[in-house]
Amino acid sequence: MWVDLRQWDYYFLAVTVVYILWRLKILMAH
Amino acid sequence: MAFKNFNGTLKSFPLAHLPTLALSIGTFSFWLELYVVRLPFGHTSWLAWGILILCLFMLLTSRGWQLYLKQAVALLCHESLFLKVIAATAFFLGLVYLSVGLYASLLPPHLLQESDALTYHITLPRQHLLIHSFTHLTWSVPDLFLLPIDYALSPFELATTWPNKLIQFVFFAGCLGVVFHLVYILSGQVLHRAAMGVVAVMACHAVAIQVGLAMLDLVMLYCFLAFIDSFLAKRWGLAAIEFAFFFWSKSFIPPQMMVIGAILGMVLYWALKTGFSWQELPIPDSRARKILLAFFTVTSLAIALPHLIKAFYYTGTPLYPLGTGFYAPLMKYTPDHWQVLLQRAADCMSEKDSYGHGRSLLAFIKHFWLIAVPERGVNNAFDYPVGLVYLLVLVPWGGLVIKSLKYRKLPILSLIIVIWWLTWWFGSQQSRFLLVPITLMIILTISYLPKISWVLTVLVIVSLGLEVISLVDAHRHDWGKPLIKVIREKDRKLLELKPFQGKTELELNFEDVAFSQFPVTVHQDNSVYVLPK
Repeated sequence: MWVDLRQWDYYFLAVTVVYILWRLKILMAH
Repeated sequence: MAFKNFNGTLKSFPLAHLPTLALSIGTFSFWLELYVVRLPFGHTSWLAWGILILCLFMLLTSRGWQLYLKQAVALLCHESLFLKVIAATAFFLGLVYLSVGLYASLLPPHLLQESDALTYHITLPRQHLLIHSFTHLTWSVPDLFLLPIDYALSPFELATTWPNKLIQFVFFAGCLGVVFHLVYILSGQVLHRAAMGVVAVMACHAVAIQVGLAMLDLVMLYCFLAFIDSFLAKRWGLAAIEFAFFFWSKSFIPPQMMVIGAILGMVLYWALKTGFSWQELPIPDSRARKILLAFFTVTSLAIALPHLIKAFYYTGTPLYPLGTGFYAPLMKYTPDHWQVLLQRAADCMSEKDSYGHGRSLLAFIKHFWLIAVPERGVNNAFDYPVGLVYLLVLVPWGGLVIKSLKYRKLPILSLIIVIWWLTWWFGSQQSRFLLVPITLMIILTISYLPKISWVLTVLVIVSLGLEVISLVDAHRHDWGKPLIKVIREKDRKLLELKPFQGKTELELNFEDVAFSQFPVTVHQDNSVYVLPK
Protein backbone atom coordinates (compact mmCIF):
# COMPACT_ATOMS: atom_id res chain seq x y z
CA MET A 1 0.00 0.00 0.00
CA TRP A 2 1.26 3.50 -0.88
CA VAL A 3 0.92 4.73 2.68
CA ASP A 4 0.74 3.02 6.02
CA LEU A 5 -2.67 4.19 7.15
CA ARG A 6 -1.88 3.71 10.82
CA GLN A 7 0.16 6.86 10.36
CA TRP A 8 -3.12 8.79 10.28
CA ASP A 9 -3.17 8.55 14.05
CA TYR A 10 -0.08 10.76 14.20
CA TYR A 11 -1.80 13.21 11.89
CA PHE A 12 -4.98 13.23 14.01
CA LEU A 13 -3.00 13.93 17.17
CA ALA A 14 -0.74 16.54 15.56
CA VAL A 15 -3.59 18.49 14.00
CA THR A 16 -5.52 18.43 17.28
CA VAL A 17 -2.51 19.77 19.22
CA VAL A 18 -1.95 22.59 16.68
CA TYR A 19 -5.69 23.36 16.73
CA ILE A 20 -5.75 23.60 20.55
CA LEU A 21 -2.60 25.78 20.59
CA TRP A 22 -4.19 28.09 18.01
CA ARG A 23 -7.39 28.34 20.06
CA LEU A 24 -5.34 29.15 23.15
CA LYS A 25 -3.39 31.83 21.25
CA ILE A 26 -6.65 33.49 20.14
CA LEU A 27 -8.10 33.16 23.64
CA MET A 28 -5.05 34.84 25.20
CA ALA A 29 -5.09 37.65 22.63
CA HIS A 30 -8.76 38.38 23.16
CA MET B 1 -58.99 1.59 2.01
CA ALA B 2 -57.18 4.65 0.67
CA PHE B 3 -55.79 5.24 4.15
CA LYS B 4 -54.50 1.66 4.28
CA ASN B 5 -52.77 2.07 0.92
CA PHE B 6 -51.20 5.31 2.08
CA ASN B 7 -49.99 3.60 5.23
CA GLY B 8 -48.62 0.74 3.10
CA THR B 9 -46.71 3.20 0.91
CA LEU B 10 -45.31 4.91 3.97
CA LYS B 11 -44.10 1.60 5.42
CA SER B 12 -41.48 1.45 2.67
CA PHE B 13 -40.66 5.15 3.06
CA PRO B 14 -37.39 5.77 4.94
CA LEU B 15 -37.96 7.41 8.34
CA ALA B 16 -34.94 9.71 7.90
CA HIS B 17 -36.64 11.28 4.88
CA LEU B 18 -39.61 12.53 6.92
CA PRO B 19 -38.46 16.18 6.36
CA THR B 20 -39.08 15.70 2.61
CA LEU B 21 -42.70 14.99 3.51
CA ALA B 22 -42.63 18.12 5.69
CA LEU B 23 -41.50 20.21 2.70
CA SER B 24 -44.20 18.75 0.45
CA ILE B 25 -46.92 19.12 3.09
CA GLY B 26 -45.73 22.65 3.92
CA THR B 27 -45.75 23.82 0.29
CA PHE B 28 -49.28 22.51 -0.25
CA SER B 29 -50.47 23.88 3.13
CA PHE B 30 -49.08 27.37 2.51
CA TRP B 31 -51.24 27.92 -0.57
CA LEU B 32 -54.24 26.38 1.20
CA GLU B 33 -53.74 28.64 4.24
CA LEU B 34 -53.21 31.68 2.00
CA TYR B 35 -56.27 31.38 -0.22
CA VAL B 36 -58.69 28.96 1.51
CA VAL B 37 -58.19 28.80 5.30
CA ARG B 38 -57.31 32.54 5.67
CA LEU B 39 -56.85 32.70 9.46
CA PRO B 40 -56.45 36.18 10.98
CA PHE B 41 -53.20 37.73 12.35
CA GLY B 42 -50.94 35.86 9.91
CA HIS B 43 -51.37 32.54 11.68
CA THR B 44 -51.75 29.13 10.07
CA SER B 45 -53.87 26.21 11.22
CA TRP B 46 -52.40 23.02 12.71
CA LEU B 47 -53.07 21.19 9.42
CA ALA B 48 -49.41 20.85 8.39
CA TRP B 49 -48.26 19.71 11.84
CA GLY B 50 -51.23 17.32 12.05
CA ILE B 51 -50.40 15.61 8.74
CA LEU B 52 -46.67 15.48 9.59
CA ILE B 53 -47.26 13.92 13.01
CA LEU B 54 -49.63 11.38 11.44
CA CYS B 55 -46.94 10.47 8.88
CA LEU B 56 -44.36 10.21 11.68
CA PHE B 57 -46.51 7.71 13.59
CA MET B 58 -46.97 5.62 10.46
CA LEU B 59 -43.23 5.73 9.72
CA LEU B 60 -42.37 4.68 13.28
CA THR B 61 -43.99 1.33 12.54
CA SER B 62 -41.48 0.74 9.71
CA ARG B 63 -38.96 -2.02 10.23
CA GLY B 64 -35.81 -0.20 9.08
CA TRP B 65 -34.87 1.80 12.14
CA GLN B 66 -36.02 -0.97 14.53
CA LEU B 67 -33.64 -3.40 12.80
CA TYR B 68 -30.72 -0.95 13.11
CA LEU B 69 -31.47 -0.52 16.81
CA LYS B 70 -31.63 -4.27 17.50
CA GLN B 71 -28.44 -4.83 15.50
CA ALA B 72 -26.65 -2.05 17.40
CA VAL B 73 -27.62 -3.42 20.81
CA ALA B 74 -26.60 -6.97 19.80
CA LEU B 75 -23.28 -5.71 18.45
CA LEU B 76 -22.52 -3.66 21.53
CA CYS B 77 -23.11 -6.65 23.82
CA HIS B 78 -20.15 -8.44 22.21
CA GLU B 79 -17.74 -5.48 22.32
CA SER B 80 -14.94 -4.82 24.82
CA LEU B 81 -15.50 -2.75 27.97
CA PHE B 82 -13.42 0.09 26.45
CA LEU B 83 -15.71 0.31 23.42
CA LYS B 84 -18.79 0.10 25.63
CA VAL B 85 -17.52 3.06 27.66
CA ILE B 86 -16.75 5.00 24.43
CA ALA B 87 -20.24 4.25 23.05
CA ALA B 88 -21.92 5.20 26.35
CA THR B 89 -19.96 8.50 26.49
CA ALA B 90 -20.89 9.35 22.91
CA PHE B 91 -24.52 8.43 23.59
CA PHE B 92 -24.65 10.57 26.74
CA LEU B 93 -22.99 13.59 25.09
CA GLY B 94 -25.24 13.17 22.04
CA LEU B 95 -28.30 13.12 24.27
CA VAL B 96 -27.27 16.34 26.08
CA TYR B 97 -26.44 17.97 22.71
CA LEU B 98 -29.84 17.04 21.24
CA SER B 99 -31.69 18.10 24.40
CA VAL B 100 -30.05 21.54 24.38
CA GLY B 101 -30.75 21.88 20.64
CA LEU B 102 -34.37 20.78 21.05
CA TYR B 103 -34.91 23.18 23.96
CA ALA B 104 -33.44 26.04 21.89
CA SER B 105 -35.70 25.15 18.97
CA LEU B 106 -38.77 25.38 21.24
CA LEU B 107 -38.07 29.06 21.89
CA PRO B 108 -39.27 31.79 19.52
CA PRO B 109 -36.59 33.15 17.16
CA HIS B 110 -34.72 36.03 18.79
CA LEU B 111 -30.96 35.52 18.38
CA LEU B 112 -28.59 37.61 16.28
CA GLN B 113 -27.93 34.59 14.03
CA GLU B 114 -31.67 34.46 13.36
CA SER B 115 -31.88 37.93 11.82
CA ASP B 116 -32.52 36.49 8.34
CA ALA B 117 -35.43 34.47 9.76
CA LEU B 118 -36.83 37.58 11.42
CA THR B 119 -36.21 39.72 8.32
CA TYR B 120 -37.59 37.43 5.66
CA HIS B 121 -37.69 33.63 6.17
CA ILE B 122 -40.69 34.01 8.49
CA THR B 123 -41.69 37.64 7.94
CA LEU B 124 -42.51 37.38 4.25
CA PRO B 125 -44.82 34.33 4.34
CA ARG B 126 -46.55 35.90 7.37
CA GLN B 127 -47.05 39.23 5.62
CA HIS B 128 -48.56 37.41 2.64
CA LEU B 129 -50.83 35.40 4.96
CA LEU B 130 -51.91 38.71 6.55
CA ILE B 131 -52.95 40.22 3.22
CA HIS B 132 -54.22 36.84 1.91
CA SER B 133 -52.29 37.35 -1.31
CA PHE B 134 -48.97 36.43 -2.92
CA THR B 135 -48.73 39.81 -4.64
CA HIS B 136 -45.42 41.69 -4.29
CA LEU B 137 -44.87 43.57 -1.01
CA THR B 138 -43.65 46.80 -2.54
CA TRP B 139 -41.37 47.76 0.39
CA SER B 140 -39.52 44.43 0.55
CA VAL B 141 -36.43 43.49 -1.47
CA PRO B 142 -36.28 39.84 -0.29
CA ASP B 143 -39.88 39.44 -1.45
CA LEU B 144 -38.33 39.21 -4.92
CA PHE B 145 -35.86 36.49 -3.89
CA LEU B 146 -36.31 32.80 -4.65
CA LEU B 147 -37.66 31.40 -1.34
CA PRO B 148 -39.65 28.15 -1.83
CA ILE B 149 -38.23 26.51 1.31
CA ASP B 150 -39.06 29.56 3.46
CA TYR B 151 -42.68 29.36 2.31
CA ALA B 152 -42.82 25.56 2.71
CA LEU B 153 -41.75 25.87 6.36
CA SER B 154 -44.08 28.74 7.22
CA PRO B 155 -47.22 26.64 7.92
CA PHE B 156 -45.19 24.94 10.67
CA GLU B 157 -43.58 28.13 11.98
CA LEU B 158 -46.76 30.17 12.12
CA ALA B 159 -49.14 27.63 13.66
CA THR B 160 -48.26 28.83 17.17
CA THR B 161 -49.16 32.16 18.81
CA TRP B 162 -45.62 33.41 18.16
CA PRO B 163 -43.39 32.12 15.35
CA ASN B 164 -41.62 28.89 16.29
CA LYS B 165 -38.57 27.11 14.85
CA LEU B 166 -39.22 23.51 15.88
CA ILE B 167 -39.46 22.36 12.27
CA GLN B 168 -35.79 23.25 11.71
CA PHE B 169 -34.90 20.70 14.41
CA VAL B 170 -36.91 18.05 12.53
CA PHE B 171 -34.64 18.71 9.53
CA PHE B 172 -31.53 18.41 11.69
CA ALA B 173 -32.79 15.04 12.99
CA GLY B 174 -33.43 14.05 9.35
CA CYS B 175 -29.85 15.06 8.48
CA LEU B 176 -28.48 12.75 11.15
CA GLY B 177 -30.67 9.88 9.95
CA VAL B 178 -29.55 10.38 6.36
CA VAL B 179 -25.87 10.62 7.40
CA PHE B 180 -26.28 7.33 9.32
CA HIS B 181 -27.78 5.60 6.30
CA LEU B 182 -25.26 7.05 3.83
CA VAL B 183 -22.26 5.90 5.88
CA TYR B 184 -23.94 2.53 6.51
CA ILE B 185 -24.35 1.95 2.77
CA LEU B 186 -21.02 3.42 1.59
CA SER B 187 -19.01 1.53 4.24
CA GLY B 188 -20.55 -1.81 3.26
CA GLN B 189 -23.09 -1.92 6.09
CA VAL B 190 -20.76 -1.36 9.03
CA LEU B 191 -22.95 -0.17 11.88
CA HIS B 192 -20.29 1.38 14.13
CA ARG B 193 -19.00 3.49 11.24
CA ALA B 194 -22.55 4.75 10.62
CA ALA B 195 -22.86 5.72 14.29
CA MET B 196 -19.42 7.34 14.14
CA GLY B 197 -20.49 9.32 11.06
CA VAL B 198 -23.46 10.73 12.98
CA VAL B 199 -21.27 11.68 15.96
CA ALA B 200 -18.67 13.31 13.66
CA VAL B 201 -21.31 15.42 11.87
CA MET B 202 -22.80 16.50 15.21
CA ALA B 203 -19.29 17.36 16.44
CA CYS B 204 -18.61 19.56 13.39
CA HIS B 205 -18.75 23.14 14.68
CA ALA B 206 -20.30 24.45 11.45
CA VAL B 207 -23.26 22.12 12.07
CA ALA B 208 -23.49 22.46 15.86
CA ILE B 209 -23.61 26.25 15.75
CA GLN B 210 -26.88 26.10 13.79
CA VAL B 211 -28.68 23.43 15.84
CA GLY B 212 -31.86 24.80 17.41
CA LEU B 213 -31.74 28.00 15.34
CA ALA B 214 -34.16 29.31 12.73
CA MET B 215 -31.46 29.34 10.01
CA LEU B 216 -32.02 27.41 6.79
CA ASP B 217 -28.56 25.99 6.09
CA LEU B 218 -29.26 22.69 7.87
CA VAL B 219 -32.54 22.42 5.93
CA MET B 220 -30.58 22.83 2.69
CA LEU B 221 -27.94 20.36 3.92
CA TYR B 222 -30.72 17.85 4.57
CA CYS B 223 -32.14 18.32 1.06
CA PHE B 224 -28.81 17.61 -0.65
CA LEU B 225 -27.78 14.67 1.55
CA ALA B 226 -31.29 13.18 1.26
CA PHE B 227 -30.99 13.51 -2.53
CA ILE B 228 -27.69 11.58 -2.52
CA ASP B 229 -29.17 8.96 -0.18
CA SER B 230 -32.26 8.48 -2.34
CA PHE B 231 -30.09 8.37 -5.48
CA LEU B 232 -27.92 5.64 -3.93
CA ALA B 233 -31.03 3.67 -2.99
CA LYS B 234 -32.40 4.16 -6.54
CA ARG B 235 -35.50 5.92 -5.23
CA TRP B 236 -35.48 8.13 -8.30
CA GLY B 237 -38.73 10.02 -7.70
CA LEU B 238 -37.80 10.94 -4.14
CA ALA B 239 -34.26 11.88 -5.23
CA ALA B 240 -35.65 14.28 -7.86
CA ILE B 241 -38.04 15.91 -5.36
CA GLU B 242 -35.26 16.42 -2.82
CA PHE B 243 -32.88 17.78 -5.43
CA ALA B 244 -35.56 20.19 -6.71
CA PHE B 245 -36.06 21.60 -3.20
CA PHE B 246 -32.31 22.10 -2.89
CA PHE B 247 -31.91 23.45 -6.42
CA TRP B 248 -34.50 26.21 -5.93
CA SER B 249 -33.65 27.01 -2.29
CA LYS B 250 -31.76 30.27 -2.98
CA SER B 251 -31.20 32.51 -6.01
CA PHE B 252 -27.54 31.56 -6.39
CA ILE B 253 -28.04 27.79 -6.11
CA PRO B 254 -29.42 27.13 -9.65
CA PRO B 255 -26.40 28.74 -11.39
CA GLN B 256 -24.00 27.11 -8.90
CA MET B 257 -25.55 23.67 -9.51
CA MET B 258 -25.44 24.22 -13.27
CA VAL B 259 -21.73 25.09 -13.11
CA ILE B 260 -21.02 22.08 -10.88
CA GLY B 261 -23.10 19.84 -13.18
CA ALA B 262 -21.35 21.09 -16.33
CA ILE B 263 -17.81 20.67 -14.90
CA LEU B 264 -18.72 17.29 -13.42
CA GLY B 265 -20.16 16.18 -16.77
CA MET B 266 -16.97 17.17 -18.62
CA VAL B 267 -14.70 15.48 -16.06
CA LEU B 268 -16.82 12.30 -16.12
CA TYR B 269 -16.81 12.23 -19.93
CA TRP B 270 -13.03 12.61 -20.04
CA ALA B 271 -12.40 10.15 -17.18
CA LEU B 272 -14.65 7.41 -18.53
CA LYS B 273 -13.06 7.80 -22.00
CA THR B 274 -9.60 7.37 -20.50
CA GLY B 275 -10.43 4.15 -18.70
CA PHE B 276 -11.50 5.21 -15.20
CA SER B 277 -14.15 3.00 -13.64
CA TRP B 278 -17.41 4.37 -12.19
CA GLN B 279 -18.00 3.89 -8.48
CA GLU B 280 -20.08 5.10 -5.51
CA LEU B 281 -23.26 6.15 -7.35
CA PRO B 282 -25.56 4.01 -9.50
CA ILE B 283 -26.00 4.97 -13.18
CA PRO B 284 -29.69 5.73 -13.85
CA ASP B 285 -31.04 3.77 -16.84
CA SER B 286 -33.38 5.29 -19.42
CA ARG B 287 -36.52 4.67 -17.30
CA ALA B 288 -34.84 6.14 -14.22
CA ARG B 289 -33.74 9.21 -16.20
CA LYS B 290 -37.35 9.78 -17.32
CA ILE B 291 -38.57 9.48 -13.71
CA LEU B 292 -35.87 11.87 -12.49
CA LEU B 293 -36.71 14.43 -15.16
CA ALA B 294 -40.49 14.15 -14.69
CA PHE B 295 -40.38 14.46 -10.88
CA PHE B 296 -37.83 17.28 -11.00
CA THR B 297 -39.93 19.22 -13.54
CA VAL B 298 -43.23 18.77 -11.71
CA THR B 299 -41.71 19.63 -8.30
CA SER B 300 -39.92 22.66 -9.75
CA LEU B 301 -43.14 23.94 -11.29
CA ALA B 302 -45.02 23.41 -8.03
CA ILE B 303 -42.49 25.02 -5.69
CA ALA B 304 -40.51 27.58 -7.69
CA LEU B 305 -42.68 28.81 -10.56
CA PRO B 306 -44.69 31.41 -8.55
CA HIS B 307 -41.44 32.92 -7.21
CA LEU B 308 -39.73 32.88 -10.61
CA ILE B 309 -42.68 34.57 -12.32
CA LYS B 310 -42.99 37.23 -9.61
CA ALA B 311 -39.25 38.05 -9.71
CA PHE B 312 -39.22 38.13 -13.52
CA TYR B 313 -42.27 40.40 -13.70
CA TYR B 314 -40.88 42.93 -11.21
CA THR B 315 -37.14 42.78 -11.96
CA GLY B 316 -36.62 41.22 -15.38
CA THR B 317 -34.72 38.28 -13.86
CA PRO B 318 -36.15 35.13 -12.28
CA LEU B 319 -33.14 34.91 -9.95
CA TYR B 320 -33.11 38.42 -8.43
CA PRO B 321 -30.62 39.83 -7.42
CA LEU B 322 -28.64 37.80 -10.00
CA GLY B 323 -28.82 39.15 -13.56
CA THR B 324 -30.80 42.29 -12.71
CA GLY B 325 -30.86 44.74 -15.60
CA PHE B 326 -30.18 42.12 -18.27
CA TYR B 327 -33.83 42.37 -19.37
CA ALA B 328 -36.20 45.25 -18.65
CA PRO B 329 -38.89 44.30 -16.11
CA LEU B 330 -42.48 43.84 -17.29
CA MET B 331 -43.62 46.12 -14.46
CA LYS B 332 -43.48 49.80 -15.43
CA TYR B 333 -41.42 51.80 -12.93
CA THR B 334 -40.33 55.41 -12.75
CA PRO B 335 -36.60 55.60 -13.71
CA ASP B 336 -35.74 56.48 -10.10
CA HIS B 337 -37.48 53.44 -8.66
CA TRP B 338 -35.81 51.15 -11.20
CA GLN B 339 -32.42 52.64 -10.25
CA VAL B 340 -33.12 51.80 -6.59
CA LEU B 341 -33.97 48.20 -7.51
CA LEU B 342 -30.71 47.96 -9.47
CA GLN B 343 -28.81 49.49 -6.57
CA ARG B 344 -30.34 47.07 -4.06
CA ALA B 345 -29.37 44.14 -6.33
CA ALA B 346 -25.82 45.52 -6.55
CA ASP B 347 -25.72 45.91 -2.73
CA CYS B 348 -26.84 42.30 -2.23
CA MET B 349 -24.24 41.08 -4.75
CA SER B 350 -21.42 43.12 -3.22
CA GLU B 351 -22.02 41.38 0.11
CA LYS B 352 -20.38 38.27 -1.34
CA ASP B 353 -16.95 39.95 -1.22
CA SER B 354 -17.18 40.89 2.45
CA TYR B 355 -15.93 37.47 3.58
CA GLY B 356 -12.55 35.73 3.40
CA HIS B 357 -9.06 37.08 2.71
CA GLY B 358 -9.29 37.72 -1.02
CA ARG B 359 -8.71 35.24 -3.81
CA SER B 360 -4.91 35.12 -4.21
CA LEU B 361 -2.97 31.85 -4.37
CA LEU B 362 -1.61 32.42 -0.85
CA ALA B 363 -5.12 33.12 0.48
CA PHE B 364 -6.29 29.90 -1.21
CA ILE B 365 -3.60 27.82 0.50
CA LYS B 366 -4.16 29.48 3.89
CA HIS B 367 -7.95 29.20 3.83
CA PHE B 368 -7.87 25.40 4.30
CA TRP B 369 -6.62 26.09 7.83
CA LEU B 370 -8.25 29.45 8.51
CA ILE B 371 -11.83 28.30 7.82
CA ALA B 372 -11.44 25.82 10.68
CA VAL B 373 -10.24 28.15 13.42
CA PRO B 374 -11.31 31.44 15.01
CA GLU B 375 -9.19 34.45 14.08
CA ARG B 376 -10.61 36.91 16.59
CA GLY B 377 -12.89 36.02 19.51
CA VAL B 378 -15.03 33.12 18.33
CA ASN B 379 -15.41 34.12 14.67
CA ASN B 380 -13.20 34.39 11.59
CA ALA B 381 -13.15 36.13 8.21
CA PHE B 382 -15.37 33.36 6.82
CA ASP B 383 -18.06 34.24 9.39
CA TYR B 384 -17.50 31.40 11.84
CA PRO B 385 -15.02 28.50 12.13
CA VAL B 386 -16.00 25.04 10.92
CA GLY B 387 -14.02 23.33 13.68
CA LEU B 388 -11.71 20.42 14.43
CA VAL B 389 -13.63 17.54 12.82
CA TYR B 390 -13.15 19.10 9.37
CA LEU B 391 -9.39 19.29 10.02
CA LEU B 392 -9.34 15.67 11.19
CA VAL B 393 -10.93 14.40 7.97
CA LEU B 394 -9.43 16.85 5.43
CA VAL B 395 -6.04 15.19 4.82
CA PRO B 396 -7.22 11.54 5.09
CA TRP B 397 -10.00 12.40 2.61
CA GLY B 398 -7.36 13.82 0.25
CA GLY B 399 -5.36 10.61 0.71
CA LEU B 400 -8.41 8.50 -0.12
CA VAL B 401 -9.04 10.52 -3.30
CA ILE B 402 -5.43 10.06 -4.46
CA LYS B 403 -5.61 6.34 -3.68
CA SER B 404 -8.84 6.01 -5.61
CA LEU B 405 -7.41 7.83 -8.64
CA LYS B 406 -4.26 5.68 -8.46
CA TYR B 407 -6.45 2.60 -8.89
CA ARG B 408 -8.28 4.41 -11.74
CA LYS B 409 -11.55 4.47 -9.83
CA LEU B 410 -13.56 7.68 -10.18
CA PRO B 411 -14.48 9.10 -6.75
CA ILE B 412 -17.63 10.90 -7.93
CA LEU B 413 -18.79 12.23 -4.55
CA SER B 414 -15.29 13.55 -3.89
CA LEU B 415 -15.30 15.20 -7.31
CA ILE B 416 -18.53 16.96 -6.31
CA ILE B 417 -16.77 18.17 -3.13
CA VAL B 418 -13.80 19.57 -5.12
CA ILE B 419 -15.92 21.34 -7.75
CA TRP B 420 -18.34 22.68 -5.09
CA TRP B 421 -15.38 24.03 -3.12
CA LEU B 422 -14.01 25.84 -6.20
CA THR B 423 -17.41 27.44 -6.95
CA TRP B 424 -17.54 28.53 -3.28
CA TRP B 425 -14.07 30.07 -3.59
CA PHE B 426 -15.21 32.31 -6.44
CA GLY B 427 -18.58 33.06 -4.82
CA SER B 428 -19.42 34.24 -1.30
CA GLN B 429 -16.75 32.78 0.99
CA GLN B 430 -19.01 32.14 3.98
CA SER B 431 -18.20 28.96 5.84
CA ARG B 432 -21.88 27.99 6.06
CA PHE B 433 -21.96 27.61 2.28
CA LEU B 434 -19.40 24.79 2.69
CA LEU B 435 -21.72 22.72 4.89
CA VAL B 436 -22.56 20.27 2.09
CA PRO B 437 -18.99 19.53 0.91
CA ILE B 438 -17.65 19.35 4.48
CA THR B 439 -20.39 16.96 5.59
CA LEU B 440 -19.83 14.84 2.47
CA MET B 441 -16.10 14.83 3.28
CA ILE B 442 -16.85 13.54 6.81
CA ILE B 443 -19.22 10.88 5.43
CA LEU B 444 -16.70 9.64 2.84
CA THR B 445 -13.74 9.59 5.23
CA ILE B 446 -15.61 7.71 7.95
CA SER B 447 -16.97 5.28 5.33
CA TYR B 448 -13.72 4.56 3.48
CA LEU B 449 -10.83 4.88 5.96
CA PRO B 450 -9.35 1.36 6.15
CA LYS B 451 -9.54 1.50 9.93
CA ILE B 452 -11.39 3.74 12.36
CA SER B 453 -8.73 3.97 15.03
CA TRP B 454 -9.49 4.59 18.69
CA VAL B 455 -7.45 7.82 18.43
CA LEU B 456 -9.86 9.20 15.84
CA THR B 457 -12.87 7.92 17.78
CA VAL B 458 -11.74 9.57 21.02
CA LEU B 459 -10.90 12.86 19.29
CA VAL B 460 -14.29 13.00 17.60
CA ILE B 461 -16.01 12.34 20.93
CA VAL B 462 -13.88 15.04 22.60
CA SER B 463 -14.97 17.40 19.78
CA LEU B 464 -18.58 16.44 20.48
CA GLY B 465 -18.02 17.29 24.14
CA LEU B 466 -16.60 20.70 23.14
CA GLU B 467 -19.65 21.32 20.94
CA VAL B 468 -21.93 20.48 23.86
CA ILE B 469 -20.14 23.19 25.87
CA SER B 470 -20.46 25.58 22.92
CA LEU B 471 -24.20 24.82 22.57
CA VAL B 472 -24.83 25.23 26.30
CA ASP B 473 -22.90 28.50 26.27
CA ALA B 474 -24.91 29.79 23.30
CA HIS B 475 -28.32 29.07 24.84
CA ARG B 476 -27.94 29.04 28.64
CA HIS B 477 -29.01 32.71 28.91
CA ASP B 478 -32.52 31.70 27.82
CA TRP B 479 -32.99 28.75 30.14
CA GLY B 480 -35.91 28.99 32.50
CA LYS B 481 -36.99 32.41 31.25
CA PRO B 482 -40.65 33.01 30.38
CA LEU B 483 -41.03 33.33 26.59
CA ILE B 484 -41.96 37.01 26.82
CA LYS B 485 -38.51 37.68 28.33
CA VAL B 486 -36.77 35.59 25.67
CA ILE B 487 -37.91 37.58 22.64
CA ARG B 488 -36.28 40.86 21.64
CA GLU B 489 -37.42 44.12 23.21
CA LYS B 490 -38.31 45.26 19.69
CA ASP B 491 -40.65 42.28 19.25
CA ARG B 492 -42.30 42.83 22.65
CA LYS B 493 -43.19 46.36 21.51
CA LEU B 494 -44.25 45.11 18.07
CA LEU B 495 -46.73 42.69 19.67
CA GLU B 496 -48.49 45.64 21.31
CA LEU B 497 -48.72 47.75 18.14
CA LYS B 498 -52.00 48.12 16.26
CA PRO B 499 -52.84 50.19 13.18
CA PHE B 500 -54.62 53.38 14.19
CA GLN B 501 -56.83 56.09 12.69
CA GLY B 502 -58.75 53.72 10.43
CA LYS B 503 -55.58 52.36 8.73
CA THR B 504 -55.13 48.66 8.04
CA GLU B 505 -51.31 48.67 8.02
CA LEU B 506 -48.59 49.45 10.53
CA GLU B 507 -46.02 51.98 9.35
CA LEU B 508 -42.58 51.02 10.69
CA ASN B 509 -38.94 51.98 10.24
CA PHE B 510 -37.50 48.46 10.60
CA GLU B 511 -38.01 45.37 8.44
CA ASP B 512 -37.54 42.41 10.83
CA VAL B 513 -41.24 42.13 11.62
CA ALA B 514 -41.88 38.38 11.99
CA PHE B 515 -43.90 39.08 15.16
CA SER B 516 -46.21 41.65 13.55
CA GLN B 517 -49.87 40.63 13.67
CA PHE B 518 -50.78 43.22 11.03
CA PRO B 519 -49.63 44.02 7.51
CA VAL B 520 -46.77 46.51 7.55
CA THR B 521 -45.21 49.12 5.32
CA VAL B 522 -41.58 49.83 6.07
CA HIS B 523 -39.88 53.18 5.51
CA GLN B 524 -36.13 52.76 5.81
CA ASP B 525 -33.60 54.34 3.46
CA ASN B 526 -30.46 52.64 4.74
CA SER B 527 -31.49 49.00 4.61
CA VAL B 528 -30.46 46.80 1.71
CA TYR B 529 -33.73 44.91 2.25
CA VAL B 530 -36.12 47.86 1.98
CA LEU B 531 -37.38 49.65 -1.13
CA PRO B 532 -38.61 53.25 -0.99
CA LYS B 533 -42.33 53.82 -1.49
